[in-house]
Amino acid sequence: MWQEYAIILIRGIGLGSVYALIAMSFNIVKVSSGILNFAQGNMFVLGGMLAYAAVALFGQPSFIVWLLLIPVAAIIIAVVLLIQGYLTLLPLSYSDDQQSWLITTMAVSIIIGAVLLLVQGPNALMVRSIFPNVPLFGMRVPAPFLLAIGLAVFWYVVLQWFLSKTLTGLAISALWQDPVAGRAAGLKVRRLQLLAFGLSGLIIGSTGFVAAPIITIASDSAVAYVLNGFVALVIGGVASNTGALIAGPLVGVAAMLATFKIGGEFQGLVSMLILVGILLIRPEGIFGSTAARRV
Amino acid sequence: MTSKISTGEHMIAARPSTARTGPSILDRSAKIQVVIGIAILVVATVVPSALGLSYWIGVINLATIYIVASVFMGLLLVDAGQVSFGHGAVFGAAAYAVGVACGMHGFSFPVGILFGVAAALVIGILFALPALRVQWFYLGFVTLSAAMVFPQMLFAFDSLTNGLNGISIPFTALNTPTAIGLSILSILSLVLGSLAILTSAIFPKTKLGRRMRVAAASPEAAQSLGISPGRMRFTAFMIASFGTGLAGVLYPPTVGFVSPNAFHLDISILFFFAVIVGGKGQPLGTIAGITLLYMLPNVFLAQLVEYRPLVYGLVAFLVMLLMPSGIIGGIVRWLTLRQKPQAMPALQFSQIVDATQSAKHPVGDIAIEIEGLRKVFGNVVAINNVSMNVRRGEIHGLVGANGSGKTSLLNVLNGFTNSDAGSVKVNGKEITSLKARDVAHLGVGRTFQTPRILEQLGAWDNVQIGLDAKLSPNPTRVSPAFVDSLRDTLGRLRTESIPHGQRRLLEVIRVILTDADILLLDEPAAGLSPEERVAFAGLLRDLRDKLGLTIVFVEHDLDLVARVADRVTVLESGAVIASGDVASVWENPRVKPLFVTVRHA
Amino acid sequence: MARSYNRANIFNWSRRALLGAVAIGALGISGPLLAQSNEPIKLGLLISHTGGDAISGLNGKAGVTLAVDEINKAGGILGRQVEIVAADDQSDPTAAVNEARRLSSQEKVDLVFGPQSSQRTLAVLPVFTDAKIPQISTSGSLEITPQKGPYNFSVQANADAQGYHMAHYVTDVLKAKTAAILTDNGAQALSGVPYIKKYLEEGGATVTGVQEFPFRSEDKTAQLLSLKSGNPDSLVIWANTPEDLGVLMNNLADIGWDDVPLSGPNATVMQAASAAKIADPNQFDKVAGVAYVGWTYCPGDDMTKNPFVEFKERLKAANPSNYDSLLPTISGYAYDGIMVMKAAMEATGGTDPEEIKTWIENNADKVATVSGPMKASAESHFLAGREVLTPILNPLDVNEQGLFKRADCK
Repeated sequence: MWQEYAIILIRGIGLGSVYALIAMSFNIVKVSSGILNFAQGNMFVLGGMLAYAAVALFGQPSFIVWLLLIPVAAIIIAVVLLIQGYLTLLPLSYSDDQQSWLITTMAVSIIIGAVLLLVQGPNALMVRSIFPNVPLFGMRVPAPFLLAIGLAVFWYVVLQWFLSKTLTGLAISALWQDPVAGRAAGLKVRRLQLLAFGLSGLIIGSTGFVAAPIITIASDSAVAYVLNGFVALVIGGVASNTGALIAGPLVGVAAMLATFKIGGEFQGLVSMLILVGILLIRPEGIFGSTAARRV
Repeated sequence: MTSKISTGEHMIAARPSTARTGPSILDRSAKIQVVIGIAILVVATVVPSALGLSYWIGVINLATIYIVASVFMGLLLVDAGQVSFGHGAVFGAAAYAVGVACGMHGFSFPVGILFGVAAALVIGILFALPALRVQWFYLGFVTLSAAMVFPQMLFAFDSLTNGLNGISIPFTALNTPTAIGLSILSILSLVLGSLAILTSAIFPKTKLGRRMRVAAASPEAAQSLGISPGRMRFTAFMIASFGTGLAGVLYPPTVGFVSPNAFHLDISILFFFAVIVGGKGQPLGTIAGITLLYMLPNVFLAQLVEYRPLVYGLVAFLVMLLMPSGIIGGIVRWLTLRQKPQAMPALQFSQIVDATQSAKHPVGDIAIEIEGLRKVFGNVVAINNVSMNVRRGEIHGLVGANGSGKTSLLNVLNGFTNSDAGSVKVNGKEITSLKARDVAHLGVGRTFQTPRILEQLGAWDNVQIGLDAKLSPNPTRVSPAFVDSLRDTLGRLRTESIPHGQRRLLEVIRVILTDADILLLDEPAAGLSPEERVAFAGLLRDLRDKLGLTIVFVEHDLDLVARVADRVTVLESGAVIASGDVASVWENPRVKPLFVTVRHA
Repeated sequence: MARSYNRANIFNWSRRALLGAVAIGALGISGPLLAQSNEPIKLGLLISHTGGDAISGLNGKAGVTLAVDEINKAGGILGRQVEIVAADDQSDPTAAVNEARRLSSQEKVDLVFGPQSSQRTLAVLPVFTDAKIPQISTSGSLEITPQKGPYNFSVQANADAQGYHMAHYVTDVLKAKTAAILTDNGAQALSGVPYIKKYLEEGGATVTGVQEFPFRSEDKTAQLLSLKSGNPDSLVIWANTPEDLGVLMNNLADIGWDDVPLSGPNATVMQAASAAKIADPNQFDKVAGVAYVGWTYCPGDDMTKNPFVEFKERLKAANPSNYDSLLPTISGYAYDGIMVMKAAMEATGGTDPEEIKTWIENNADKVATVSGPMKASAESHFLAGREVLTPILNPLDVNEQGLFKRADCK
């Protein structure tokens, strides 16, 4: 009996780590520019497509080749995100209406989905993992679940180091604290924001690539990932990577436990109740900073 | 640091305040837009019916319903600052209630309408409850996940809703043309659509509309004006759900069918997009938004088939890239930018109070009585055992270095923060357990260190919200001539163009207009020129002498304090180190050395 | 009494004969007129080009397009070419209704193919019934009755027929006493569940648990573990996408439950080959599915000129670049639907909906189809009834022509 719970826990954490990674990739952009990039789910799917392309090109790549391909995929998606970031930031510089990103990022998500449908069709792409399954508790777990956990920890450590130990990272953090002061202090705000878009591309591109065998790579599967990433982001607390790292697996495990004990049809409802419940107790999320004094 | 939370994060746009021509409640731009909007709806409804184009009749009715739903989603978003990504669930609930009532239980359509609106209000309440606690995109995601769950619940309770198979309802009578050529359904959607456009133009000009905007833009300013932000949010959700519900009940007769799959996330996103792409807060905005995002890809370019989502995405993307304030917002902005911006003329303080119309005041010599007050934030003792009092009809200066607890004290006095110990009596009434808006109702008004002149409201509206909050039905104590000239001056201005120093004064005028008899002013003279300071000092004296107001003000300019204050209290590290008439405090040996630091702070 | 009865009969007969003569005369006049008319026959293609059901749309479109191309090359129907008018229902009932109105009142189509799901078919039924437009849909809900949609015929096996075979495989072939049910949360699967339960219970099997998973979800372990705890002898599955089927097979192996026999619907037969791209092919020897007879063979059958095999070849020739992403099974019954409609129009000499309806109700089984013998009646407009379906074991076990081996071969 306990083995079943152990397996659910590990798979839930694995899947939740993917949500955590999506949430972290949201975070860095949000911190630098206040933008929540709705197209991030599509970037994630594009990362998965690169894994499919890699298999198509290299057959089943060897471990070394696969390892080398991760940064390649990450950089390709980072470039795509840089372009998107540039376009998204464009109207913000000449308009006093600062919410255009909400529509432009959603629109980019719709456009990418539409193009994928036209080019690739409605079928999903399927990628077989190059790693064998890992035996655990008399059962087995596909390696990408465990790799996702590792990747989440890796990016968490990198981000924490970058944001607190490097000058550029500190400058990005400063933008979150006070964008106006940041500008006044001579920070090259646009450049930092673009950098954040690129960094989020590295995170999401590598995640899509690594998790490709366990995710759905299709023209319309992005929305589900955006939502799960957002739920992790909001529960963990916006701007907190620690929050994302904890909330992602929390959401993953809770959804699987709800399915196991109550039934799959209530998975959506349970996720929503957890979201609402946590927000009602802590409106800023578990690790979110409380509102600054207003008066 | 503070403005980011109060304004930057909210989804509210400045309603462009274009030049006023007359004393009408709508400005010219809004008037023109309403006329054009209703004309478009009339033509679009009448022409297909006259030509007997049944496809177009259906399409126009549906588009009109979507416009109505978007208008009310816009009201929620723009006027009340509430982000709902799940408005389609409100719409769907109303439609489904009609489907269940009329299609499964055989009720007549009018009864169905009642069920539909009731169902919409229920979902509205479900959305409003989290809105009392969470805001901005947190709220957006709560409503979004609710909208995701909505169709699943329609599946899950299939005995009630007929589940997957949906409900088919013909509503033939409603769709049959009447004597005037239009079907009852077309008439209903046309009337509802026109009313919605009119509502979107008039609502922001109503007292409720202004108060909602204040509550959305600055909850603390709202509370200081006696407005409950929570109640405003709740009201906004109810109004929006009511309007959206009316749109939703027309869906079943228009489409002839309800099914869980019709109320997916897409429809919520469409309403949201329509508001922003069309132009937030523009009466014509939703018509433009629905035309571009719904009619263009689904009707005009229906033959494109699989390219439709691409068109939809590209239109939304390009519009926002080229016109970040939306189609109509962009056009209005372009037209108004061509007009010469008007500079704000200096306000003549001497006119504010022209006659002594002293209102009735609560009896008693002591306006504010503070006893052993203490407030701790974490490890910081912000207010340390403060006891002092403010006499009725005096100007009382609060001075001290930055961080000495002046603003913290004001915050306790008007109920923003609850004290940890001690008592505060305002006009003899204990206020330590009261909320800010209740303290405001006792006649305490206040201004803020960063003035809450809200760009989400027109220039005059920013002052008028003071009149809206008037405590008594008596005519205002401020000279009517001054109010008229101020209305005239501000009516021509855009809020953004008001200089910073003048904003503080407008805020002071706003508070005076509320009839408050105790004013708490937080650095009211910061940013004024030396000449303006002299005039301002005169204003404070007039308020005291002619209107009999009690004024507590925090000020760094000790010369100004010396000039107008009757008494002064000096704070240091949250504690009172001196209190009394100006001359004696100035000579206090504990105070003297502080002045040097204060002056340079 | 008897005499008057007879006389009445004779009177009726003679009246009918007279009417018939008039009708024939009318046809004689209008027939050549119709044949001379070069106005193309407009076929509305109301399917999901976009949205969640775009896969059905893709395959339906390929089948319909192939049928129309072949018809046009052979000179059209009654000498008239067939023109496709495409409409996208966006996988959404509201859009389906709008597009149905456009097709009927703007485009004035003569017949319609689609929609491809019951939810949208039910939504558009009133529109096409009012406009009296003959319709071929691929929808499996039993709420679609000849009363609601007199001119609508479906070529998809309905929930009842599929559920019947899925359950009977469990109770009759496996002789299992207990079964669990796992489906995706799509409309098709969920509407099948009541029938599966009904026939399982009729066959004496107990349902130990029912679970569902979101469409295209990454992991079904939790559902499977929860069903496994009921310890059933067999598992009835309804997964409509190859990804879901593949993940499901993998998850069964992950939790060490790959020895449980599985019974699935049409979709399992169609999707198995794609699912095996990520799942272990050896696992499929425990998987049964429901196939149209036309897709199947028994050893010893005459394999020359097999209609379905030939159809696949033509489909491949027509779609050289994306044949691999098509499901010929779905395209096949879509093709059959158009061919049934063509036969009806040719037999009745036009597009009169009442005549077409009556003809199909009585003569559908005379049409040469690729999926198997189609049949309808005044009581049921489901052209693919129980008889056209047959269980198969191991959907990966196909002959060199790609046909599935029937489970009931001798």
